[in-house]
Amino acid sequence: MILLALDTASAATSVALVDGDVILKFARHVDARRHAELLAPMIASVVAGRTVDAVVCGVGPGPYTGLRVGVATAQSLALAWQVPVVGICSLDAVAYAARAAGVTGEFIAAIDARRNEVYWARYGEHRLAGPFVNRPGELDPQLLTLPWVGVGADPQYPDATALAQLAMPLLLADVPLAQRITDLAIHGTDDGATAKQLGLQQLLSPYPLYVRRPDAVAGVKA
Amino acid sequence: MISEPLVLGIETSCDETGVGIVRGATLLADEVASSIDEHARFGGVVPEIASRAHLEAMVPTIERACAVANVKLSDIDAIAVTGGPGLVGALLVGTASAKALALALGIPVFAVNHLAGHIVVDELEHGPLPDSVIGLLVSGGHSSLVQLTGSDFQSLGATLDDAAGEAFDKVARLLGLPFPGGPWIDEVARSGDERAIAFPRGLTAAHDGAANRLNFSFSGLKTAVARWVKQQEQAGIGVSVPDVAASFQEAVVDVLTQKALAACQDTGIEHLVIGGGVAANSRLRALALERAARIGVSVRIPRPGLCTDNGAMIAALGSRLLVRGAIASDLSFATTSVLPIETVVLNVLN
Repeated sequence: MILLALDTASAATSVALVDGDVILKFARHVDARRHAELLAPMIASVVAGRTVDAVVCGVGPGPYTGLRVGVATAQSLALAWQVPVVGICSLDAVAYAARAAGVTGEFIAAIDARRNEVYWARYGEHRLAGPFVNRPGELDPQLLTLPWVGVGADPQYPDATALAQLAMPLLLADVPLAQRITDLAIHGTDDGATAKQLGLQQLLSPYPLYVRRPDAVAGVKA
Repeated sequence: MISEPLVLGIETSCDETGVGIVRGATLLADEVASSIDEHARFGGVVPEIASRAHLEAMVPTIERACAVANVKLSDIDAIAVTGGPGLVGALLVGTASAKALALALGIPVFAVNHLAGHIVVDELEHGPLPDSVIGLLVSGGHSSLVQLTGSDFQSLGATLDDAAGEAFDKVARLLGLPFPGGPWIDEVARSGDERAIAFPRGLTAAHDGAANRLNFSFSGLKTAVARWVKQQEQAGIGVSVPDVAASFQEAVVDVLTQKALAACQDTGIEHLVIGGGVAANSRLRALALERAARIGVSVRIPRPGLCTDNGAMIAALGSRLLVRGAIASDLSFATTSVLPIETVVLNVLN
């Protein structure tokens, strides 16, 4: 089964094409403001005319504009190819990458949320709690004693992000999230499902995990 | 070149998720999902709410359009999508979907100018446009005068401040009418006297100069209505909502029709097309027809459903471009909140 995975939840746009355990092709480009321009050409070059059997999409949480580009793309590809499309929590992919990098026990996986906030979830063997969004200052101090593993800090302004302020964050600057997403789709998600056994049915629906509500206030006079 | 291409058009520049399908200049489907009810309590379109709603509606609206047109996606010859102008977050949902469809189906994508779509859409209703036409585009986000000659669009004038539709929304709110204000003002004004109050006609005085002959300004009008209502209330005089609505509406459509016909006279072009949401206004339609007839100008206005934002207008523009041999957009094209009418297709392939 050939899976196309894509993720736009962090500053990176990543695309991977895998056949079982074999990565056929992979592409990743870091530019927090250009997901929309980068994604489609990257998919075209990664897929290169092959037949795709399913699409897997990182559904965040992550900055909305880029996230929606990925989700709209995944949904529309699946519609045109008439194949299934599923979502995977992008923080699960960060956690998967953290374990692969040797992080053990309990830890926090995080993605930069801009506005001086982070999206985060707590992990052990599986996701234990989250995803949430918070400012570093409002977090339970006990959480800060755990290892923090994060992606998505804009490399141009590393000190300006909330992620950088957290206790000893281990920044996985070069995590190919799409690749980790295909791993999760094949070997099982942090919700305990194994996609292979479940025929990709028990994963998330392909819609963004917004976590925040739209911050609009009713009754403001123009 | 295919003479009657099957084109799917996607429009997500504001709050309507529109998907249209045309074969040549024949309309096969025009499906619109609107998030307007979700914005009403805010008195205007909230970009983040609109963007979320577009993503929810995108694929279901494409599926509905295909079902109504009785075509399969694999039959489509080209995708057209609004590349701008509009709300960037909203545009990105439609363009991401359009790029994905084009690359998955192996067909070209045309990222097109929303404003040009509002003019060209009339071909779906009234047949091919004459070689040269003047277009009056009036909506919640735009008020402009353009000239279309062959495949080339040229801007003749635009609003310097508020769009006409924006003025309708703001005055409606002032009068306690619901959002969006256009249809409500139109309705309430029917029982009012349009000569009751002499509201100002922006940029029509001699001292406004030749440079502003074809430009618009509606913010002064909006302020004048607000001041008039306040003065009446302070003086303890009741405000006749129908009279205010009718007088305000008359001030807007008086200026719009005057300037549109001035553009026709300046250029010697005898055909006027009116498009955009405000083109659904019944008084604008009536006054434009009446005044144009006097000077021998023909007026074409699409039916109201094709005046407001829709995918059919984008499909119609895509089809027209394809038939005329235009070059498609590269998959790397970027959306843009500001796009001059002269740019009809974004980021064409090298």
